[in-house]
Amino acid sequence: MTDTSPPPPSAVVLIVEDEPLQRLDMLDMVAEAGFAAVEACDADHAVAILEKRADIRIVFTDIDMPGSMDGLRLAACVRDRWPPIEIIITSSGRKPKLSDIPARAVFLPKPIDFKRAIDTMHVLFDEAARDVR
Amino acid sequence: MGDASTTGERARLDALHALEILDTPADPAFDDLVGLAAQLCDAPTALVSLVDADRQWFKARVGFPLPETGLDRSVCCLVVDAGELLVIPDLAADPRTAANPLVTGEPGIRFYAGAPLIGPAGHVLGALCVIDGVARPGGLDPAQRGALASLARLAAELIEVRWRASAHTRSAEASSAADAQWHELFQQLHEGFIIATALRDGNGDVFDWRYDQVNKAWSELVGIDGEAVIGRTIREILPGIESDWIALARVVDTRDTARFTRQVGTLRRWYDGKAHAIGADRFAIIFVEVTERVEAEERQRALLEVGDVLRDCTSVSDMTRQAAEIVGRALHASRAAYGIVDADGGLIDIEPDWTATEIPSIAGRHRFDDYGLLRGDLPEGEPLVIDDVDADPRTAARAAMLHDIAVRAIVNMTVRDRDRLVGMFIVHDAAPRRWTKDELAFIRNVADRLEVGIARLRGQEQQALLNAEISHRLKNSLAMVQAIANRTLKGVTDPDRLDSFQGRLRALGTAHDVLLGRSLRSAEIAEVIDRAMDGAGAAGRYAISGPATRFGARATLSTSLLIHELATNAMKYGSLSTTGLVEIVWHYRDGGDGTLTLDWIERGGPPVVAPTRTGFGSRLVSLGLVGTGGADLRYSPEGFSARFTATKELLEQS
Repeated sequence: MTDTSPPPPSAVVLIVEDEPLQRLDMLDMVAEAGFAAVEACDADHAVAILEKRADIRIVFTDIDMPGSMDGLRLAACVRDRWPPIEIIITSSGRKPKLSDIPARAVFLPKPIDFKRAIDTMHVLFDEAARDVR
Repeated sequence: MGDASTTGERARLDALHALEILDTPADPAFDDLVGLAAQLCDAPTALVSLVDADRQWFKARVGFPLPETGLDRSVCCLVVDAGELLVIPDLAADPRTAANPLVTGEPGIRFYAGAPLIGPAGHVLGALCVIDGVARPGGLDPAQRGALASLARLAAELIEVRWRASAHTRSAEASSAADAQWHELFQQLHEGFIIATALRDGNGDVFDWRYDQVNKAWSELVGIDGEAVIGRTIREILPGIESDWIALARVVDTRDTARFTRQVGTLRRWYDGKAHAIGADRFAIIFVEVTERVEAEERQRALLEVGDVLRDCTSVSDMTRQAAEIVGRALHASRAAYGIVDADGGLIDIEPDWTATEIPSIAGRHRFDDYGLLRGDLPEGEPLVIDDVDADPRTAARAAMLHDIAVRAIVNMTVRDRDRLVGMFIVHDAAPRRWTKDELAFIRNVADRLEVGIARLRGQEQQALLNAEISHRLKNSLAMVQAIANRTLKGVTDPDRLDSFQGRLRALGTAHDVLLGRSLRSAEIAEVIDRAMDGAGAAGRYAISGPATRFGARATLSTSLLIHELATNAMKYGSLSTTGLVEIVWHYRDGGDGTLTLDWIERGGPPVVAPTRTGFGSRLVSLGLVGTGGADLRYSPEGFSARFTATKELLEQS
């Protein structure tokens, strides 16, 4: 189990989920874990936010979403344009092939196991912090 | 056979004795007759049997050890009584012969057919008969009956001729009459017949053989004028003939009958027959053509193989490639291939094809119009059949293009998928070829099977897609339920209870994953347990063992919840809360009454005590593997254990 000491306020997680109820639930979970949360309702919205804000450390995205990109395309785009940002991918569909998700990205199936999700975010944040240092 | 005391029987015996044939030495002419009778009737034994007062004596015999037998062993005497051709399909079943010692004991004869030998004065002297050791429900076919009767007449004639010859010196007239009849019979045979002489080299080894006589049927079956071959050798007549055909002449040394079913490769025709020695270096061959039968058998085998391939293959291209090879070989074609036809039918993408040696592959994209009017009647689904591209008006103008890819004869058989033309099964021959109805039916049959096979694969693909979609929606609903529960219950209820609720929800989700991997109707028990244990966070801390067992959808869901519950409890209070382990073992109860027993055994954990409060978790556990009970829980000092039982029938329900 990872260190669960409160992360610094700079630890912002971007939740990308089209289903409002689930998004709300994920935002709660992120807040409970002690991170700051930002929400986007689809991939284009997420990219717009990423272009404006430099403080996002983790993108936590659903795969199946309307719009010009699905979560896998978004993940590839994030890895390409903002390489240091960590990525968590979730879906109620089949687990994607390893070759379809960017390096270092983590997949969590739905319904999301919140404990595991929180642990994962801590691990990724610690890695991101180490990279920065 | 009648009673020797009756007048008729006395006259018959007088006539027989007057012919002075009984107890005379063997005579090659009679030997040939029985040899021919055995061959024509495909029987191991043939006899010229003369029925005397107290015995039957054999003037000639093949395949029978005794020169004579008592009348208690005679079947031929029935022919004498009947005076006409007698066929007994099963001697053991016929009341007249069932008790015959030759039937009940050695050599155990079972089938008999005999034609009467009628003497010059009209008496039945005996019979020319054929005998087999196995019953023949079908008896003889009409041709065999005719042949046996003809041979019997010839034998009777011979008896008379021999008698005249011995009694009145050699009677040239009678002798030539018999010869003429022999010749006529020989010519009338439907079977091809050859009398030949083996030719020996300096060491005395047979190296070739010469045609002395062939009959009309021979010319038809081989396709060569019979007159032209007399006096010439088989090597001259059929250059490149297989050495096995030359070796047939060895029967003059072995004195055996040699049977064959063999192809003359240069003629592409199959023959089935026998060769047997008839004199010093002379032998006879009698045969029929079996090309159609052999090729039909080959196609039959090929269809079975195609069936196997279609059943086992998991991709369309694999299926079509293997089917092409089987068809190409079975038809002795030069190329066989499957091509995918584009929507408007103008292009064809030919998949990796099967080709005979030195025939180039044509895999790749082709335009039909480049090769003439090959598209022909395709939209109607009719096959395109061309025997010779040079002569056929549809291709004659572009024949050179086809020659370039070694094509002279073509069959293009359409393959449809739900009435839409999707592909074409192609068979080519590098030489002109008359495609037979049977060959076309065979190709149609393969194409039909391919259609079914392709439809099956498409169906499976669609089913898999559908399964994925169903599972996706289901798990999305579970995610929604989780979100709603969180929104509704957070702050209102104990966070631990919310956690266990979420855990159970996920256990359901993973159960659906396991079902999805299969048919949505059943799952393997080991996989169900592994997923539930992993989902509960107990990966690597348990051991499972038991026979492969499939669970239905219902048991998969309830067992997933059960294992999830047991695992979370073990992690909170049981062996997994410290460094202990869990063992999960299942087996079918002895005696095969179809009851499965599954044991959950915790070891190496802290001492356990039975819970005082029963919550929903314990209710879930008590519901057992299929939700109907069958749970026996033990809180023993060494650790918690539980035994669950359920009938196979319930477990497999979906």
